[in-house]
This record gives sequence, structure tokens and C-alpha cells, in this order.
Amino acid sequence: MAADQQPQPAPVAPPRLRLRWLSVVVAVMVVLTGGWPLANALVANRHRLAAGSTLRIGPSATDSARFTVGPGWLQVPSQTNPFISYALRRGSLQVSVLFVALVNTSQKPELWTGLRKLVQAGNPGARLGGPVTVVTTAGNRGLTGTLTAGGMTGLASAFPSPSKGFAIEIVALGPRTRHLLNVRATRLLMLSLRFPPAPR
Amino acid sequence: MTIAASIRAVRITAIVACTFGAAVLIWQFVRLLAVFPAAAVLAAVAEVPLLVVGFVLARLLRPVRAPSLTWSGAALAWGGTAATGCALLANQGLTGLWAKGAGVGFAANWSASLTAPLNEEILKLCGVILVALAAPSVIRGPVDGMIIGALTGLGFQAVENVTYGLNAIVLTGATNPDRAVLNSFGLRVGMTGLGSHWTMTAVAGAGIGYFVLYARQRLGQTGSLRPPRRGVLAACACLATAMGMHLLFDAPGPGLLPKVAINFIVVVVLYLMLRTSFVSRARALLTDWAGADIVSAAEARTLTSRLKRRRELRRADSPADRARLLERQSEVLDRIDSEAA
Repeated sequence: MAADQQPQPAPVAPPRLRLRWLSVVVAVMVVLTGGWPLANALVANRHRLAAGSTLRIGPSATDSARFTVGPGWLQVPSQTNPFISYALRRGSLQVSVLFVALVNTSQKPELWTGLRKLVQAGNPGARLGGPVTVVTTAGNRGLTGTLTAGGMTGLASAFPSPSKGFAIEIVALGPRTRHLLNVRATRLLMLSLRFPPAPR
Repeated sequence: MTIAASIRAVRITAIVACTFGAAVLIWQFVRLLAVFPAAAVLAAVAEVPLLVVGFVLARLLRPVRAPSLTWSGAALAWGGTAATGCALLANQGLTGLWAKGAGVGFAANWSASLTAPLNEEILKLCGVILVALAAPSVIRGPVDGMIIGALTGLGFQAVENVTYGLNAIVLTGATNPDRAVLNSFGLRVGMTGLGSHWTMTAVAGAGIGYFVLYARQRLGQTGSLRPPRRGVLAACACLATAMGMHLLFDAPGPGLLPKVAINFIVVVVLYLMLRTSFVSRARALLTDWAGADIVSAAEARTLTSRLKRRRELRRADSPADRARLLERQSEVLDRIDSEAA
């Protein structure tokens, strides 16, 4: 290329323009990354549930279960998605109710091993005692065991659905000093669990 | 402040954001990684072919020549660290607000489609803007913006797939972690991969390319630093389209395949339009330059084709000739990139 035919150098944005745009990008990122969580933290995160309220968990009418709460329960909206999980509180007792989709129907025996690993993932150092069979008021069989994690105690339970396509898991933790009261409240919730009848 | 110092400030900011995003991801998933290490490795390794094939394809799709390897990698890294990490926090915050304000039933159905398009499209696009600021020669027009956008989206998509794989372990009660990860991979790569994040950020990135193009023209012609109206409109239209594609993708309702098809068709149509006009401008420039003896007729015939350029290089008599030819090709291609953008 001849010297007189060299292209004009492309215009380059001056430093102040570049820094102005950099400030805009940083501001937008800070607003989204920090602003939404901050706004979320400022809004109350509890919804009082009336005693006797029945809640449905699961993605559809057939793949779902219902349970009933007694007096004094709160729902934590930011951690609740009725399709897959409920986060509930009763005083210092924290309860998670989870919908677990089973990859195939032969996985029912793996439920307890899986639950043991999940509570370890959720609470480092958590220990789940050996399971005992429990039967809900509606007659559904499940497994339950004592859970301890960092000065907290509670129960963890797994209930396979009659269709064997999914299961409901309940993990409850509260202060050791209120163990008996918390276990009683958790058991009442757990025993209220009802599944739709298995398709014939 | 000098131009070099301002570019350094942009690059340092980008590195800090990527480090922050990676730290957030590790913090969020470290417990699952510790309890399910084999499944976590499987989830990550499964994404490697997607990343490699996507990276190579996206760079090949840039007409005439591939974008800089370094900045292609930077775009991928932004998508996989800064954008995903920040989006995780932003999405948790906004999803929580939907659940509190509109109820958990509404949020279960709509919070993903009302949250992710806003947070994720903007956070991914920030990476494209930072590439434009940190390396002014990399994004000169809509084609460049589209390719860098696609790479940013690809990085986001791959890391998001890993996080979905890890979440699938929880959602299946950890009854078979490996199977859960593979099922999630099959769904997110096999079924939705063609219409996911890379398509959305490619469209939004093209808008940044238009903005840069019009801003450069305005700066060159009038010296004005004000944002060009046409550029702002194009960037907003492309971002709105990308958000619309994302909203449709996440919305409850029609099956996944029509949504994937719509996103894929949108990005293919836009790409073909931009590619055709870029290549025809490049060829017209070369024809003009050949007429003015700026380039030879042979150069005008070969320079827009990667294959023909390589063939020319192979014909060089000596390594020195080859180096000279390569330099010459690079010089003309730089000018084409600048003027045909």
C-alpha cells in the first residue's frame, strides 16, 4: 500500500469517554448484583400461615403431595417454590419440605442414602441417625431419623409416593434446648402428608 | 490519563469482576462439590466438548477472519465467571422480591422469565461492552459484536449447565447423582443448547457492535463524544430482542422445542444478514482498491477467503517471503475490518 494511500487511523475514544462507559458498566453491575439482594433483604421474608392450612408441593396435580400445618407456622417466601420446595419456620425451628423427582421407580431404596448426603451438603458436620419406619395418618410409609448439626437437632424424613415416581423429604432443625417441642411440631406436619392415589 | 492507562483500568476492572464471579460460584456450590465430587467433575467435564466446539465454530463464523484469540477467550471467561456469578446473586434477590410481592404461586411460574432476561442479558452484555472498551480493534461493527456476544453467552451457558447439573442432584434427592447430572446435560445441551444463551447474547452483542460503529463514525466525522442516536436505538432494540428471546425461553407454556427453534432462527437470520452485507462491503472495497492499484487483482480475489489466503501462504518461496505475505495480508485485512464493519 503506497504511503499516500494509507488509511486514516481509526478514531479511538479518548480516555475520559472510556472511563465514563466503564463507570456506567460498573454501576449497572453493582445495582443488579448488590441492589436486588439488598432490596430483597429489606422486605420482610415471612408469611404467616393459618393453623390448619393445607399446602400442596409438586409440579402437577398427579405429581404432588399435600401437608397441613398447625398453629404458629410461617412460610419463607424467598426460599419457597410450591413446585419443588417449602421453607417453613416455627419459632426457632426451621423446616424444609422438598419434592424429589426420582430418575426411575427402582430408586426408592436409595432415598435414605441420598437424604443423608443432602443433609451433609446443607449442613457441614450433620449426622443423620439410622432410619425407622413411620406411617402417616393417611397410611403412607416413610423413613425418619434424628438429625444433629452444630448444636441443632431435629428430624429428617423421606416418603416415597405410591406411584414411586417422586418422594417428599422433610428436614427439620432447631435448637437442642427445644428438641421435644420441635420434634412434636415436625411430626404433626410430617404425619399430615397425603399423596394422590397411585394411577392404576 | 492516557489512552493506555484508561484501557488498563478497563482490563483490571474486568479481571476483578471475573474473580468476584468465580468466587461467588465456588461459595455457592462448594458444599455440593465436597459431597458429590465425582458427579461435579462429570458435570464440568461434560461441558468441555460444548465449549470447545462452540468456541471454534463461533470464531469460524466471523466472516473473512477470526476475532482475536485472546479477546475471544476473554469473552468466554466473562460469561462463565463474572456474568454467571453476579447473575446468581442478582437472580436470588429479584426472585425473592417476586415471591414476597406477588406470592409464591406467581413466582413459581413467572419469576424465572421475569428475572433472568433482565439480570442475565445485561450482565452478559457488560462483558461485550468491556471487550469493546478494552480492545477497540476487536469490536468495530455488528458482526464483531455478534461473535463476541455469542462467545460470552457460550461461557455463561456452559457454566450455568454445570450449576443446573449440580442442582439436579438435589432435585432428585441424590438418589443417583451421576444419572441426574447426565439427564440435566442431555436436556440442556441436547434439547435446548441450540437456542440458549449464546443466541441471546449474540443478538444483544450485535447491538453493541452497531453502537460502536455509529460512535466511531460520529467521532471521526464530527469529533463529537455524545452517544449517537442511531447507535443507542440499535443497541436498545437488540437488547430488547435478546430479553424477549430469553423471556420466551423461560416462560411457562409451549414446549421447549418451538422456543429453541425461534431463538435459533432469529440468530441465524440476523447472522446471515450481517455476514452478507459485511462480505459484500469487503469485496466492493477490494474491487475499488484493485482499480486504484492499492491491492493486486490476485489479492482482491483471495483476501476474503481463509482457504485462499492459506493457499497463497503455502506457495511462498521461503519463510521470509511467507512472513512478508502474512504481514501484507494482515495489513489489508485490518483495513477491511475497519472500513467494512
